Amino acid sequence: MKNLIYILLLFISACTEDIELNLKHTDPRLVVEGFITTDTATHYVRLSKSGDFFANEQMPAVRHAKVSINDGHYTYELIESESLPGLYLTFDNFFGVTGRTYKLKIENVDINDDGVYETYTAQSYLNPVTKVDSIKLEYEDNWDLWKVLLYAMEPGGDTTDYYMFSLIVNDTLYTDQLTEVTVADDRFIDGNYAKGVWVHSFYINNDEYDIYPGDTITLKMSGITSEFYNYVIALQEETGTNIPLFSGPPANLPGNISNGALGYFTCYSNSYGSTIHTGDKTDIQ
Amino acid sequence: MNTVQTNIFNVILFILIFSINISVCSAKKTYIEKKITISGYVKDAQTGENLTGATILIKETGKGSTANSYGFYSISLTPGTYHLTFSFIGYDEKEIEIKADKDFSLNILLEPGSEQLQEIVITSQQKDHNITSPLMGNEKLLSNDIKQIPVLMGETDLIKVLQLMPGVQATSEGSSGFSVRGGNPDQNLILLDEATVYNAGHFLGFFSVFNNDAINSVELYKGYIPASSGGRISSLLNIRMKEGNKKKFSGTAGIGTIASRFTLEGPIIKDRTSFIVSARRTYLDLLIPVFAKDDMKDNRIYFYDLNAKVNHTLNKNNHFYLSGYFGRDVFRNEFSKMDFGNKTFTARWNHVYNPRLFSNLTLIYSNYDYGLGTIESGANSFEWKSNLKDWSLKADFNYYMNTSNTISFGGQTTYHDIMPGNAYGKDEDDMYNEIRLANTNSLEHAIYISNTQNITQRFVVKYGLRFSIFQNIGPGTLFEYDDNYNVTGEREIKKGEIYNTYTGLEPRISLSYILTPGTSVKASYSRTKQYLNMASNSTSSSPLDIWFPASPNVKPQTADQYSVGFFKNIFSNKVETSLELFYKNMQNTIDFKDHAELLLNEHLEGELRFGKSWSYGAEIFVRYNLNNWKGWISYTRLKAERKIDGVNNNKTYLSPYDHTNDISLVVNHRISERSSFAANWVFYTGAPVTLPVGRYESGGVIVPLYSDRNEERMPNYHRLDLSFTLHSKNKKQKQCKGEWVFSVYNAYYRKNAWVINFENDDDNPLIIHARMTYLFSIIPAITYNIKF
Repeated sequence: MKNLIYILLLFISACTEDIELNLKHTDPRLVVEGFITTDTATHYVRLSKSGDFFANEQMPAVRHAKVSINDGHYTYELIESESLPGLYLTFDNFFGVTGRTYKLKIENVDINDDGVYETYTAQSYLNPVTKVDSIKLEYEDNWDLWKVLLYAMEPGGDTTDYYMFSLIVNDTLYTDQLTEVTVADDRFIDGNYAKGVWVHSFYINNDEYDIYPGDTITLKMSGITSEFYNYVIALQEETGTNIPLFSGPPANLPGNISNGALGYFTCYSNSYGSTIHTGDKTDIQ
Repeated sequence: MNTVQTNIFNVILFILIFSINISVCSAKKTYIEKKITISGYVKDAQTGENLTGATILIKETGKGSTANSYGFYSISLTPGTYHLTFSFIGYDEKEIEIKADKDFSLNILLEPGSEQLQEIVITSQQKDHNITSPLMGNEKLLSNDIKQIPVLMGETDLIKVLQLMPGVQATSEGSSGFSVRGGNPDQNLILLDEATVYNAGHFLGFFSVFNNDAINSVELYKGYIPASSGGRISSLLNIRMKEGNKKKFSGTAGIGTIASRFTLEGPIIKDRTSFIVSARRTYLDLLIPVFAKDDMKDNRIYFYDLNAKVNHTLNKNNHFYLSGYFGRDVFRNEFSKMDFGNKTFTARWNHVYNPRLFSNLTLIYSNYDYGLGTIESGANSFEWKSNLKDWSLKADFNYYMNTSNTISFGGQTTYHDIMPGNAYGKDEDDMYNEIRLANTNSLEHAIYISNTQNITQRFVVKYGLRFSIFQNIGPGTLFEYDDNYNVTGEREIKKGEIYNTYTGLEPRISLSYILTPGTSVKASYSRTKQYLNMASNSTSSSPLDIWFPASPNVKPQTADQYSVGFFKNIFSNKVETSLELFYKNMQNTIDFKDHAELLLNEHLEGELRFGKSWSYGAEIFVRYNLNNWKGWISYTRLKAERKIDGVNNNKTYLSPYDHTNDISLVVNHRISERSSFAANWVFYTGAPVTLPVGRYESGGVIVPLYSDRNEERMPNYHRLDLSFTLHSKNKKQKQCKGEWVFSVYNAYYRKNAWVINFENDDDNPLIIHARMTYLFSIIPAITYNIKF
């Protein structure tokens, strides 16, 4: 679709040009980023402040907060990292359990500088995810990209399931921004066997792919909440290119932190599938 | 009673009083004097086309009448000898002496004027028609007028010309979508030979679907909307196709920068049956293989239109018309395809029961559909389709009661069948579920009556009442929503079950009072209801926009519009000026929640938010016709706001179509017999827009933080277009007449911002640049037209 629009824009000789804009200011707000997953690892909650749109620098970290997570059974205190200010960490043997609701509480912060501490809370349910049977890489000639195909059983059921797909290349997270993950609901595949569903892609970058024959490619499939699904969709919309024909009016992301804070705290479960990249473009099933 | 109800009550009372007045008057007269009725058609002497809106003036009484939309007129006189003058814009006036002693029919043929018709920019039917007509907020354009205005890529487009009129504006740069007096584009009823056109744009809206060669005339109603039409709350755009030359074969052809056109018309049976066929196709795609890279060679991008009409005169009392439109856009590359288009079909039967009663029965079919999908079959192939169909039956009557009263009445019933979306995989052993949103079916009925009454020679009132009924009919699925727009239940509706009914009384009135010859004041009130809405939250329409009906969850939109106007002509009607003020109040206005999902969403109604909206403004219009200089100046001052529950924290915000100031200047200068020059300049305040007030980091990227919706504005918009037309020599002797049209769009290269995007710096992603996209540089175009 977008491809077609670009062809059209080419015909009507569209051009772009940098312009000066005088934008308004707002008071800083707390920004939260926290994820609980089923992986056994150090989990973190990152606290920062918002700033002017054209601030053009790293947003300031929020330090010395009291951050805790409660899973309905136990409360875990998070400890601020010494090397990475604003990052609050769990122990490295922490893992989320599906079916539990996790509650985040942030205390001891004074974002508006009025001398009174504020408290912020958020909560999220940890949904299960189906097992990835296998994945496959397939070359797409028309668009010059490598498709990542998923093989897995979609469990079906009455509720809508939401998925997030991330890519890992040789143990390094390739899709390290939320703009690079793909998200989907199960409308098209509810209760069916996913027999090579195209869920992600490796695009060509400066005439080269980021992956080489011999690389281990891993797909991470996450079972996310509907709220987080909507957040990712909105984030991708608001940070992507705005085309008046298709884009609605800009709007703030639907975060889930109380007390006017921005950002997100969410839980999800992970399931992995790997393959070795052969580089063989003719390998069509 | 609230004020709105009081208003309606007053208007109904008013109508009742007048109706009684009429019947008493006419009863009296029948006793006193015998009336003679003269009726017939006013036609073009060379082509036999009916002249809609031609005026008839009775010299002895000073009274007049107007031919209806089929060229039919009827006048009643006491026995005697009279002089009748028939006139129509661009035609020589004709005066006839008649001896009225018994009823008779009289067809009048008017010769196209010696004054060159092609050169006329825009004028009303009669020299002071703008003063005497009871209507306000009403613009009429003829096909030949439209041709003279320079437009994008030389592709003559009636909607682009309408956008130069006061109170009418393009929804975004180059778009054929338009907003009338701050309303939404989906609040305009666009009729092509009475059939609704649901998506009037080609090429994502840059060109309209109306091929000017097939169009006879265009009339836009912004204020008083005739009681015979309804279903939209902003405006009525009534487009009439040509009927076809009844006297001889003729045609036009044109080669333009992006498209070619061909039209053929002529008699099948001379003076009785004629046809017109008109086709247009773009050929951009034919150039792709020449200029594009290898991997784009198979790309296709084109549109075409086909208009056809046949009309047959059985006898002087029965005329038949069949007309159709078929148009399609096709985009295609190696991987994916998309196509969309409208189809309309209209069958009409004009019947004259007696010299005073004219009727028209119309059968209408209208269809809009789109499809997109993958080209090849395979595991990930899919198709996605949506369509909307209308079947409609309409009966209209004109009763020419006496010289003072012309009554119109009738009714219409329409069946709407909308398939909002169906997506499915194409592979045989397919892993994808088919997604098929339930069709929505509905019935829309209306009856109406209206009267144009000359109370005195100076005081004319047009008033009417429309009663509309809207019904949702099964089969279907009705979802129930709670206060947070979450689905709480669903109910399957059986086939044929009517599960929801709305009714609406829509009174309309327009008054005009002539102060002195050449000066009049007018006032009007119009209530309108809208039962079908478009799901689009972008400012310009896209081919994927679907329509959805009112339902138990979606109340019909209602508008009350009040307007007053002052009209004055100077220099013996060579300069027409007017000032109109309007206030429009709308209930059950629909907007969409933030980040709404409008496509393939069976819970679409849960994405809607409701509230009210209002707009008010002033329109100044000066039209001049001085020797070889013709054109107009229009200025619109507008404020359009909304307050919607669940949008912008329930605070009032500007409509995206609020342009505070809007100016259009149109000039057409005849240089010599052979050449003419035209220019138009437009200026308007930048559209309201939401811009960030802050940033924060989330998910590894910089996210904009917004304050209130539509608080900022895009840069002001202005643009100059020029055109030069050169006609071939010795027109009179040659069979073929050719003309070259050279035009330039955006002549002084104004970079008008279409959209502002924010992009991260390539080297340091923490730095953000504001970057505007402008669509058009200087766009020259050459068109060659030939008439034979």
